Amino acid sequence: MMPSTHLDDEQVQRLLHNELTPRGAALVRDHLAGCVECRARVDEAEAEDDEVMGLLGRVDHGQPRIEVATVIARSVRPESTWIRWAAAGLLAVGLAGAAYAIPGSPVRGWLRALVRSAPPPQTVIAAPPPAPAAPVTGGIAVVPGPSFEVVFQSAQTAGEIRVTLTDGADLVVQARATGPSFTSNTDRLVIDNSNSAADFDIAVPRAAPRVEIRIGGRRVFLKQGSRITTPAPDSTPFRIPFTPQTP
Amino acid sequence: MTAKELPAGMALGMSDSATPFHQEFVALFTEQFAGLRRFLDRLSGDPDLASDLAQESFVKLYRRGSLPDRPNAWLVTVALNLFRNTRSTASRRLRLLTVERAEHVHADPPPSPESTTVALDRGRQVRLALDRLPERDRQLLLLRAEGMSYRDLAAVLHLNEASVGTLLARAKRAFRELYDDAFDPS
Repeated sequence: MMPSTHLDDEQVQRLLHNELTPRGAALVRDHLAGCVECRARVDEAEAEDDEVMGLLGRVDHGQPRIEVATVIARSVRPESTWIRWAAAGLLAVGLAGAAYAIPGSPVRGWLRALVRSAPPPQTVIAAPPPAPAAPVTGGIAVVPGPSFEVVFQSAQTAGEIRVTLTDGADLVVQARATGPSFTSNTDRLVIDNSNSAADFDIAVPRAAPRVEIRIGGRRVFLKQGSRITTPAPDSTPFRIPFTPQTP
Repeated sequence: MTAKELPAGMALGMSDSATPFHQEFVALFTEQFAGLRRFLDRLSGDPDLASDLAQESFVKLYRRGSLPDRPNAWLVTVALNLFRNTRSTASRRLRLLTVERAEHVHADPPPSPESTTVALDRGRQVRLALDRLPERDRQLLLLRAEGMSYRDLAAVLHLNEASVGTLLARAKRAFRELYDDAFDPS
């Protein structure tokens, strides 16, 4: 039986957008089957919907290509760690000050004893400054994709790769001698270093999900999330010689 | 090779690419980013701002470390908050410049109705109509154009879910009238 009232805007829009409940949809269908006026209203509303949605597209600008890796790289908060350390430092200083200020506090005695037991000052002989690094003569910066490889094509007889982790979004490779050439896309950077003896500095974004560095077929560095696998000593920069060192 | 495994140190808050969250995030980005950016582009008329705000919304989601119950509604809510903040900052800057701007505006003769009509192409008419729509109607229309469900529309725009269809019908009519009025410079 046809309902006594015609369809309202809510029902018409929900019908157009598939937002009616199964029971509501059945009622509307029953009504439309016997009501020419409402069928015309639905047709009109559908045409208006199509027209309005089509018009909205006229103000669109082009869609730029934005990679998910770029967004993930922006997600890393470099300030968070030092803010935590600064907050912890301030808290420690505050607590120490409060403990010192309390009347009868043993902290004052401990401090005096510490000062008395301190060794006399010694003459410090400064280490000679490190030899200046060779100037950067070439390089490349790329935004690494979710899984990124840096491949050195040749195992040089001299030189090393120095890898540091950075908070930037770009993976940056700098060569400290002329000769090497670079070819890259979103998941691979190939460095033609044949006949080169250059040192290379590589800055790897901490936010990059996966970065692998290979010399020929030999993997020398792998970063997966926050985990790093490398034969280099545990210090930054990770220093990786091109020629494996025998123990 | 004796490989050592070392923590990357300051990579706090970063998710491993193998985690389910990372995979869900990448899938959501692939599915929703273009739509969110298009919505913001249509809303603001500024494609660069739209790209920035869409990215910033996803940045906030990634920093959250887990997906909310309704990620699409969550992202749009964050994006709209960012947009409001941007607009209020811009509005403060504009107020400071109002006096100087007014002098320049009044110094120029107004364009003739004929030239205005001719200059308005369809894209500009749509822009004008959108800008003249009440904010809620504009957002309702643009979010629905991205296929947002009535439930999410109600949540994001603080509407009664039972009346979303009625409000949509009114918004479309209002937009249509404003679009037609854009031909008439008076």
